[in-house]
Amino acid sequence: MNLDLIELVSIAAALSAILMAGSTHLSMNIALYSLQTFLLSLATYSLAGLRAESHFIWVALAIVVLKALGIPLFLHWIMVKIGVNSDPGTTLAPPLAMHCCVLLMGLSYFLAQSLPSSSLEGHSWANATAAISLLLSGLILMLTRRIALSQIIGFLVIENGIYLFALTQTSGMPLVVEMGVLLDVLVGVMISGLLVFRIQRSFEHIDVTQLTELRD
Amino acid sequence: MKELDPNEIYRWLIFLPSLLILPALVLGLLRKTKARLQNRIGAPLFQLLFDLKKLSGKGETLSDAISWIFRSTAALNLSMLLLLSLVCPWLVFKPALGTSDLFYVMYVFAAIRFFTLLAALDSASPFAAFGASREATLSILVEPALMLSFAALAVNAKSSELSRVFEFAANSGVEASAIWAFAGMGILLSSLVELSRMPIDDPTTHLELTMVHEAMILEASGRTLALLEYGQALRMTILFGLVTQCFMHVFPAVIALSLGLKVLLSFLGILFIAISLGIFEVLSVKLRWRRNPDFIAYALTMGLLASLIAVGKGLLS
Amino acid sequence: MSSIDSISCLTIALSFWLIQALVSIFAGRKCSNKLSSAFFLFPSLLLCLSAISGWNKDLLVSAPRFFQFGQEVLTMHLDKLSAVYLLLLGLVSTALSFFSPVYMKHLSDRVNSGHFWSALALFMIAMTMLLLSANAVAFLVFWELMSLSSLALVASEHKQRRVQQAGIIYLGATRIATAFLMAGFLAMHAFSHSWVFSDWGQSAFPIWPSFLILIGLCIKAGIWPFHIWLPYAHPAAPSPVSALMSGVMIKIALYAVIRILVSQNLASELLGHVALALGLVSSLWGVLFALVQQDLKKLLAYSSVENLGLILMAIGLAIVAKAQGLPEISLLALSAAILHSFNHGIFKSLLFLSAGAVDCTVHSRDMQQLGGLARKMPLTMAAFLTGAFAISALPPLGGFIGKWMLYQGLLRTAWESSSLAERALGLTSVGTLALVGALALASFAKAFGISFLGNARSKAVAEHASETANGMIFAQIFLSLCALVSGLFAAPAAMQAASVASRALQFNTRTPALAVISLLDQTLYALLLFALIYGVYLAASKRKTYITWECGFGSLSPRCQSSPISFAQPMARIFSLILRFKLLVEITGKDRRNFPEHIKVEPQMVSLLESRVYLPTISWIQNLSRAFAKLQAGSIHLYLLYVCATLVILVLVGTRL
Repeated sequence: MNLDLIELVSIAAALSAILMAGSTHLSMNIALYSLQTFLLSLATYSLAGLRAESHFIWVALAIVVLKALGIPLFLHWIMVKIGVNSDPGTTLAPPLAMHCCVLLMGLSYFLAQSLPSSSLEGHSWANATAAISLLLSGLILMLTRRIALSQIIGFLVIENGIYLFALTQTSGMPLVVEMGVLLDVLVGVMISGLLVFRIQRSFEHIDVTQLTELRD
Repeated sequence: MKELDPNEIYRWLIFLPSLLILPALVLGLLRKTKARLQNRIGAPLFQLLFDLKKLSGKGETLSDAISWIFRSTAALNLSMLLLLSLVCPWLVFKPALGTSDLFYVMYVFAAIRFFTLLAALDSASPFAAFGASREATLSILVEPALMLSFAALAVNAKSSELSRVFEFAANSGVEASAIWAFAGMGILLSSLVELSRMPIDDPTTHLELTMVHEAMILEASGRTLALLEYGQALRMTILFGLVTQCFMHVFPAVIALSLGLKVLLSFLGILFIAISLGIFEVLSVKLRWRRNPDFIAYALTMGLLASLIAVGKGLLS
Repeated sequence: MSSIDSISCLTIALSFWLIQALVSIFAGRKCSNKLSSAFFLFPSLLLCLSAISGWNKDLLVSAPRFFQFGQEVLTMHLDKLSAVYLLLLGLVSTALSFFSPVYMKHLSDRVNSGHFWSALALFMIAMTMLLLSANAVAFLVFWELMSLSSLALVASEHKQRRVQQAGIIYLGATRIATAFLMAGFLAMHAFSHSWVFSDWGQSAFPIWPSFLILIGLCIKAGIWPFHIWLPYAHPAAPSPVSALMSGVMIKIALYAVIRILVSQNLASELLGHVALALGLVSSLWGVLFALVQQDLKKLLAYSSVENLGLILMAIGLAIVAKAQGLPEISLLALSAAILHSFNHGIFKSLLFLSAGAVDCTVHSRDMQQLGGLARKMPLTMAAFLTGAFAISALPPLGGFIGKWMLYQGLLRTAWESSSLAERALGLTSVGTLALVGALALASFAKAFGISFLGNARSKAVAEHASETANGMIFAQIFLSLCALVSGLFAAPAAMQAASVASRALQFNTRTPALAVISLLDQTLYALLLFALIYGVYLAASKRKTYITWECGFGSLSPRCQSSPISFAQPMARIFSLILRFKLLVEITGKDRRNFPEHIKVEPQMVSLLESRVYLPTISWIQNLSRAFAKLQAGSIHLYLLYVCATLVILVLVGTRL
């Protein structure tokens, strides 16, 4: 088996998500997210050539600008503002969460095998594995973290997984839809970032495990 | 007795001196790099050899609590390490001796650790016992990572003989390269822990309470200490040699090289790892004890990834 | 030697033990330990002899009609598989006959020696016959005899409360085990209409009886989650008994797994997976608990759980691999199980005997009190070191080869199996086994290092410790030599184990070649190097003796040394989820923070299974029985009413049918 560039890139993105689950430094996680998104835009760019769809180039460019640069910078700004840089994690310690992610990647192997095959360019088990693994790693990241900012990052990783899946397993979405989704994500992150900022101001912490007292 | 191959004689002629020079050079380069980056001149490159000479001339001061275990450990561990240096394929051209089974090698390493722990407990020193307890803790964390990394390589080669595993066979594509790379990373990270090097333990501090390996050998002096120091340097060289071999296998281009170039590369690789470790040690800080599992987790992740690919190899295409 | 020899040897040995059992129970306290042990030694040697002469033979002997259980004649079947275990039993009991007299003298005021020897002889008869029985009825009879005689031995010091409790727990475990086993056997009889094991494989049957049998045998073998009787029974039992129980008895339960389930083809692939999983969990669970023990014998008991887990894992792998059409892996794994049973029997008995020798001289098994025995009991220390080295599976001693074969089997599954899940399982098990190995090494480095090295932690040890009597030393040296020989000649031993295994797996073809590494030459090289370095370099240096470095504070108290708990604490903390290990610190004094007057630190460990599973179940059963007990009011009229009501119901039911 020989992997082509797209497969290599998407697997590298999945690996970066696994490393994110093990890192307790928020700045590290933001940087890894940025790298991961950049890798996805690279995959999009090379698919543009292979499938001869020129609008993928614009999508790739938008991803780089908005998701690989814009969102990380914004998150970094929030992080500096609230003065928190490490997330100790909840009951499942980050190292174990990372090992869980590796095992889930193995599970994604199985899931990817059961997908219907197609002759579509970029539609391969490696890409499907990477996409499902990204999605699951994002979930693990959201599940095992304590700081609200990490939840945002986890959500973004899930979004990346979904994007990769849509990109490789289908024939791609129209430019308008892509842009709409991107905008949605951007606005979502903005709002939740500001919310985190507000939570920090009113509760003096952003520990989501302690938000249970708000249930009434 | 079969006739000696002239090639075999050349191998021994290069191999035996490198057993003495290479450990000294690895440790020397590491320390020199650290010193130069900290704006110090640093000790000479072959300081280890001078130390060994000095220690050999000294008498020994022994604790009144020890039994025969303490001194025999030094000799026994070195003899096992020398055996391992003959068995493990850590250099390309090394003369082979008997079986180099993966599990055998792992358990000889474990036997060395067993005796080190006993020697530490033998001196009745609380510091040494602390060190022993920490060493045992680190070993239980690092053992699965090391084992999985090697096992992934064994599955890749379909043999548990390390000399077969590390043979330069034709590389079967990206999958094999990835296995080698992940396993190499896993072994490298694990060996940092095994050798109690930097983010786990700082061997240059002078606080017995925090150290691992240096605390365990606190009671050793004179020739016993010389044996232990040399043994540690040799262990480092063997492990770095294995890591180098792993990384050499990542690149299909290297496999096609001639033997002479491979030999050169494997020497240079070991020295390169020593220098980069020196740079890393200057830049990084020692982790708090409770954070160590977080670091070792990365080694296990590498091992798991390598085995994940190894397991799927051949079944998926 | 002709085939008659081994059978007559066995008959003589069994009748010797029978006589001993009868005579010593009447002798009571007047029973002489020396005489009894001499009487015990002869049949033990005969047992070894019969195992060796019965090797390579397949003997099926029916006893005279006099020995009849119901409709079944007592049939004995001696083949290679039972010969391996007979040899183990013979070797261990030979060592015991040297060890026991001295040990019993030390216990003379608490234990009735006549009862002890009688129960021991019955125990031996039961185990020997269990290994030979070829039908289910005989098996159950001797199984019960084994359970009850070992219970009598465990409860030797029955005046102590601790021992009573241990006895009750052990009794409960054996009852449940027998119930499962009996249910399984009855079901098998119902399906096959035969009590003879070899008929069972012939007919079709559902898989649930084999699970009942497996559970029954696992309870006896101390497999997770049924292991809780082990850590109670072993510290309570006298050391020779622990050696026999841990070394041989629990292995006989797994022998029965091979004999009944594997070699009769009763084991399905599902059963193999269950066995593999149970083995994996119990090996990890056992070694984790072994690590944090303070009592030397409790540590050894938990380590038995670990090793039995490894053996069951090997059996499970053999079943799975056979079902998937991988005969070589299957053979490798079953040979590993047999070989590891034998080797573990040897060195676990050795360790229990050494612990007993320590207990005998310094009257303590608490590692917190021990230390510094290396200089006072050099031979016992050497024996314990051999055992600890072997049980940590370090080459070249006996423990290595079995584990090596299991590793090989698992690793080869990872590339030979065609199923992805199976491959992943193999490689994950390799990683877990590595963790188990490292933990075992840590716990035995702790057990040996804390009890034998350093300085004595208590006055009793410092003043009273001295080398034990010759009989004890001889027994330990004998077993150490066995462990050494079985390690150094691992390759031929593995070949023999493979031939046993291939019969048990019913491979009709000749034994596939089993590549086993030979450790002999490399051990020799290492020893030569050692002699060279030690003799030439190290021996020549000038030495002087001084105190251990203590930062210049003046001499340290021996209590400053690492304690068994402090040594294991960092590791216990990592696994705190399973171990529930906590240090309870209590600081008292006027100004607690700055000037504490007393600091009390106590390790606390809650056994998850006991507190969460077994105790609630037991209390539930007790409540239920209390509710039932209300039916028994003591009034004759009420009882007559019950009888009447039952009769009416039965008649009604009968007419309906």
